[in-house]
Amino acid sequence: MSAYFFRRVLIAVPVLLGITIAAFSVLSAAPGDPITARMDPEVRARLTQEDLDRRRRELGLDQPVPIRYVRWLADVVQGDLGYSIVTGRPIATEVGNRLGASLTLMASAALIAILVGLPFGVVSAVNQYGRIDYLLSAVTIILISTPTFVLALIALYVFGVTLKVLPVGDLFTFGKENDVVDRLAHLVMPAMILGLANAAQLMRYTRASMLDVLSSDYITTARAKGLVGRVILVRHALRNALIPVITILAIILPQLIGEAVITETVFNWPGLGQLSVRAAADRDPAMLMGVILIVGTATLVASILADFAYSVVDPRIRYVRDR
Amino acid sequence: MSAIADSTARQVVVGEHESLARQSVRRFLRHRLAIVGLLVLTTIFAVAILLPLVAPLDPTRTDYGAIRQPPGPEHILGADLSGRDVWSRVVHGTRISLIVGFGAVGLYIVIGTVLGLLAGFGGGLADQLIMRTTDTVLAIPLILLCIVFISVVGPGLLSVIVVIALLGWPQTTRIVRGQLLALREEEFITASRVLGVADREIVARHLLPNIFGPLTVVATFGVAQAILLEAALSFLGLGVRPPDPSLGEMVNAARAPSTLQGLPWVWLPPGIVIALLVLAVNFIGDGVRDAIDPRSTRRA
Repeated sequence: MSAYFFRRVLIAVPVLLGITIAAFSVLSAAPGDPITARMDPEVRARLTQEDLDRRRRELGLDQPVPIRYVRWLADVVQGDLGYSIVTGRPIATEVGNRLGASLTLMASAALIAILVGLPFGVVSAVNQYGRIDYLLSAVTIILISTPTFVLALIALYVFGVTLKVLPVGDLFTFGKENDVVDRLAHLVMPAMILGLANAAQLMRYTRASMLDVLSSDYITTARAKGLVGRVILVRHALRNALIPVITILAIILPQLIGEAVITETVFNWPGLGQLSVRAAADRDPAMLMGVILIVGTATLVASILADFAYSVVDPRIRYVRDR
Repeated sequence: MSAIADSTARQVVVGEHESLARQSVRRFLRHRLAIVGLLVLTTIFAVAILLPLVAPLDPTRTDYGAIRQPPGPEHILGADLSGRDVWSRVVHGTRISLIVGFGAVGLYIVIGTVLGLLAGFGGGLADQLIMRTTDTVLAIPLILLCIVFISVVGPGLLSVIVVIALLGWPQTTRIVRGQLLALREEEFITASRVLGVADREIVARHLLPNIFGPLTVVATFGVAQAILLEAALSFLGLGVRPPDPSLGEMVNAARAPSTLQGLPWVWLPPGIVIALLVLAVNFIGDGVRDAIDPRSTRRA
């Protein structure tokens, strides 16, 4: 058991290195000079080429990309993610400040996706080809096909500006930093949009998985024994149907993290996604490296956790993998 | 002797393949939603590609008299903040969506197939390298990778197509390699080998027909995904740039509260068209999947 997870973590490390190497190589091909890019033209005029070269040496920018990457990595290991070329502030602080907001949003959204997706998937499967099934399937396919930002804007239009029941953006109302109710009100719309968009996927898979199980022999046996429908459903079918669903959860998570970029932008939610969009627009490569590192780590940790849950639910997997 | 055996084998394979294709088409035509999707997509195609040819619609012309004009006889979907005709912009934006969707997916199917063949045939180090790259690309949200690339090459139509093409191939590679490895175990491949058929020939005659089905499914859903991705990037200001019309960029106008509330005709139509387009492609994808793999019928 533990040996297996040790191996999983060992595999995740090179993947994470691969991600950062790829991003670093791409970002170092960015046009423009990080030293002169944000410099006041008057200051720039007073500097000679020698000054610039010296500055470049000090920052290690005269070195080839592989050496710069190794230096970056060495700094990261010591908790130094470098400085934003736009704001000049340490990236570790900027990213750290926003991690909480992003995690809150993603965790709430994931919870909503599970709480909505699983039960409705089961209901849909149990009533296969019934009216509820068709209705739910229609809603699902519409949610999957509509871009997250369009859903978000429609929600904003209805609940934010027309009915005025929910705040239209930000983490909290200015001056109410410690008001829990206010913070929750701000969380409702972004979390619901992100959650429902992913609930739709989850529901599709739960329905398929449940239908698979319901048509298996041991369910027929249970029916033949005369067990009550509810008992069959909960005690026999659901447990087995959940196994593949957990794998799907692991697949949906990176997607959810990706969609959070959009949700955060629409609702002005001060998270990592919003930060990455701003960094790209500002052409701030060091900042993007910081975001990639954190999001990459989070995604890999999430997939390992999903794997862990998988083996807890299904002892057969644990047994096979342990050997 | 071997020539005879070879030609007989060919005939058998070709014959079976054709009837399989016909079966698939028949199954596809039975899929009602897929037909609806096909009709919707055809209509959208016709309007977006053909209409600009017959009716001059200028998506960038600004008419100062029409600024913020609601839908009416002059501008059927109204005009935006700069007085540009929303209908013209929706038509041209849809065109861009289709170009990105089909262009990028077409490119990455080719890239993915080539890499999959390299991994499968090359084995060893090449296989390891390609497959680990695949894992790496799949491990991180696609949109974030796109953002990193765009920050380097700069936004624009060409950038979006190239970025999606460069990042979208891993799934194709996995399928091609998987099929190749599975086929290698088949007896008829061993037989062809024994008969002295070249690898190139085996790929063209046995592998490609076998992966055509799964690749069509991946490509169809890929088009839907690429259209959504382009819309999202343009919405974030990192995709197609104004004055070029893009549906996602048009929706972006709604981020200003006054437009969101006061000018719904500016952002709602492009939003609906994206959804409709993706919905149609997804229905077609469902139909194609069910047609190709009868076991998956009416499942997910």
